[in-house]
Amino acid sequence: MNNSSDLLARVLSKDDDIRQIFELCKQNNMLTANYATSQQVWDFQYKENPIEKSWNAVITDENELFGHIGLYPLPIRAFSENLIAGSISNGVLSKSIRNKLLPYKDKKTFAVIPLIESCYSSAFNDDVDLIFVYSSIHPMIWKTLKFSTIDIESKTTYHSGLKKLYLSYCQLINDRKSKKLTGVFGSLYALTLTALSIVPKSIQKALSVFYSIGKENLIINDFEEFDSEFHEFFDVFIKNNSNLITYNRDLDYLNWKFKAGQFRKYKILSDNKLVGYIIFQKTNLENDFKVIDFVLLNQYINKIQNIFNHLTYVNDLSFIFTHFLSCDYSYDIYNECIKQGVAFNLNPLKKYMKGNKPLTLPLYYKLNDSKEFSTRQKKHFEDKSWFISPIFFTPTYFE
Amino acid sequence: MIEEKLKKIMSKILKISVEDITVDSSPDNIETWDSLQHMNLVLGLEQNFNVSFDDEEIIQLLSYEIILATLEEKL
Repeated sequence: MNNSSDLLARVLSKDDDIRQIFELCKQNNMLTANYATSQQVWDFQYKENPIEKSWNAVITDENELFGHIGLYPLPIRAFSENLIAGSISNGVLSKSIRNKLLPYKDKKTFAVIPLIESCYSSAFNDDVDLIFVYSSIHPMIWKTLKFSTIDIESKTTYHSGLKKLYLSYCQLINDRKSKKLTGVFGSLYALTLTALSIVPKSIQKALSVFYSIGKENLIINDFEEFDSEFHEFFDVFIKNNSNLITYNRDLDYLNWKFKAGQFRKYKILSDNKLVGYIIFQKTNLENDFKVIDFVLLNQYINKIQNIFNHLTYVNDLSFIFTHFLSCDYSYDIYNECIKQGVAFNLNPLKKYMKGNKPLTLPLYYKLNDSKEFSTRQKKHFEDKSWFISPIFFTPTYFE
Repeated sequence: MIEEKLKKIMSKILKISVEDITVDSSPDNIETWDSLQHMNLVLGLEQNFNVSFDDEEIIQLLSYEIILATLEEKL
């Protein structure tokens, strides 16, 4: 085994053999498209992004690579400015060095700490404004590196037609392999859950027709590329939500990120004018998707029922929508989704039970000290002003 | 008292017997003491001893001896 005194964390150099990183990922079972397990994925993430930047650090003994972490750039909009953030894409550490101590400042510590620090330091030196990560790595690691934390509550709604909802419940029951819910009993239970979930909402929706004021002629069309039509749309959205810290929806960047076939994109038009869009990523099930990004001008949020009804009944889609409740805008969308969708779980009475705690996950971020953010701006990052969607955390696709 | 409690916490988190924990115990001689378990250990110490470690201290708590000395200072 390597002597830890030979190990060091440093920035990736062009002489390093990145195939060793692919091998490390495979050895650690990191086999999804999000991880750099091939030259293709690597190039897509780090060389072909429109900002043409990336920051990578490795643990090495000069012969072999034992760890890697990579940041890719994200355009961010905050304080009416365009910022560049770095977000972690890949991270892998060989099991053989996880208890090795490496030099860190004037001391020694576990390899993961200097590895992460080498990476974001190089990003900060390259003028990146902030680093953020939505991470399941131990929180103490981020505390050690002096990252700030925002706990974000997430909730999921499920949207589909009746038949798909029933089949989804059946699938979930089968997956849980409950002995009490097999065969006919399982089907009856799924039927009951479906009725409990959707019938009251259908009645509510039918009744709402009688008191809805003004009918919007909303049209929903699929599209392939983000084009200049989206410029004006984003300008209006940003103007109406200038307090948000959000993904700067730059067209080149969006087209790079979502060009693969597993994404499905729809425009929402009112009187031929773009008022919103939604991006889905396909799951393994037929016509089953998850929402990656959904942006709608504020005055149309109360039309979410119409939009989702069209998608579920006309386009025959079923999809899950994970809401990151990190700003008022997200709450507004979630509340409207609840009116049409279902809180999808096997026990529909769960929300009334004690001890049903919300699911919160931490977002860690670190500002570049050399950028001299004002006190007001720093406070703003701490507030519930982040408009987050899975677009932040889907660094890559690949087929 | 502190020693006994500390050894129990370390034993539980690092999955080693209390008897195997000595003054020299560190990541150099305990294979299970990696970065993840170290962070769990720090968290466990904070919760069980009702103390808080800053980021400098977290990376310094790298042996039984140092942990014990740090706890004795704080308590």
